[in-house]
Amino acid sequence: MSLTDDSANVAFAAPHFDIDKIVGVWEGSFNRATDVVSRVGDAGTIYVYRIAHGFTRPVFADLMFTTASGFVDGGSADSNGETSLAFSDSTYIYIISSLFAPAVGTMRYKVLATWIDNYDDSNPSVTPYKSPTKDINFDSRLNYQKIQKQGALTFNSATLQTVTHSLNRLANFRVFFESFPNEVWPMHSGGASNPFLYDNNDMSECSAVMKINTMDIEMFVVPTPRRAWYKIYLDR
Amino acid sequence: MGQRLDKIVHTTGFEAYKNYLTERGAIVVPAVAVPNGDFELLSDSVPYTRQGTRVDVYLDNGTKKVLVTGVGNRAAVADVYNFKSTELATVNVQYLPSPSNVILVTLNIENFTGSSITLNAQTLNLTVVEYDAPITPV
Repeated sequence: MSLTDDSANVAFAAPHFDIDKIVGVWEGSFNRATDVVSRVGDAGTIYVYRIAHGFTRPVFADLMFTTASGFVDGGSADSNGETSLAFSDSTYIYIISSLFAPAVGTMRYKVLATWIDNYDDSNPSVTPYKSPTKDINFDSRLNYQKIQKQGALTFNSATLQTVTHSLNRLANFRVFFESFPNEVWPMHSGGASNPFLYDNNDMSECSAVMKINTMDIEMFVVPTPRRAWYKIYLDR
Repeated sequence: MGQRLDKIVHTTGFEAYKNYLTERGAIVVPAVAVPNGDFELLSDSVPYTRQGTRVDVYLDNGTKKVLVTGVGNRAAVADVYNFKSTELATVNVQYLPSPSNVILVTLNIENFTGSSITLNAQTLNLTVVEYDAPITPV
């Protein structure tokens, strides 16, 4: 029996659809004055907290954080007005602690890392991950976010590329990209209003818009080839 | 012993994003006047029921959809928001802990155009995908 007709409502449908693979979770806090290192760009200096992720290549990083009392999603502003993102390279996950000025106080964070399929030609062995707080990795009673289509695009210049999909609706999606070569960031953009833009000449920006049968991914400032990874989800 | 993941669809050796609920809502923008230098906060909230929830949040206008979580552009909503002038529209996503247990999505419209503007009435559809994630409660 084919699963394709009602697969959007199926909890789990291996081997038909990929799902995101969580390879690590880090939770904790850091001192924004003493536990950070600086990164200098032509537009200013930002300060980041580093987490050694233990892998040999970058991962997708999802961040929840707060410098106050309530957690917000990475990219949002907490009640202190602070905003932060997480990105990664082949060694670290970086949490942006402050932008253009050293900060004080404590940032609490939760970072989840998912695997980038086919990042390069390697396929290294990855130690299985099990949460210390939720020790059931798979439960067939639960729905799993299924990837209907995923891939990587190479941008050789600042331009827009279109990905087609067959879902005939505004599907859910995620996009990550190389803001610098070999650094995988969540989407960020806005030019002069982008709080994460600390280098105007070497730092790329990226945005994406989902439409009924296509998704547009646009990259800005591309001094050297940069990649973007997209996932279009089947689940409604 | 490790596993090689590139070609694997799923393996029980690793957690995955368990989508336990997709909530839908709307942020309604009324045709209200916003004085210069002032702002309008419009929000919608949806409940979450599992501790350790993480969300993906989307806004759409029926023809275009944007992701507003995990992105470093609080103004990503510009692709779906119908501007009256050059007002600034940004989005914030907050996890309100127990006893509220809601995801609060706020559209912040700030007017620095130099004069009062009356916003274009519109509705932005909200999609909140809730994951049971291997994290401690907020």
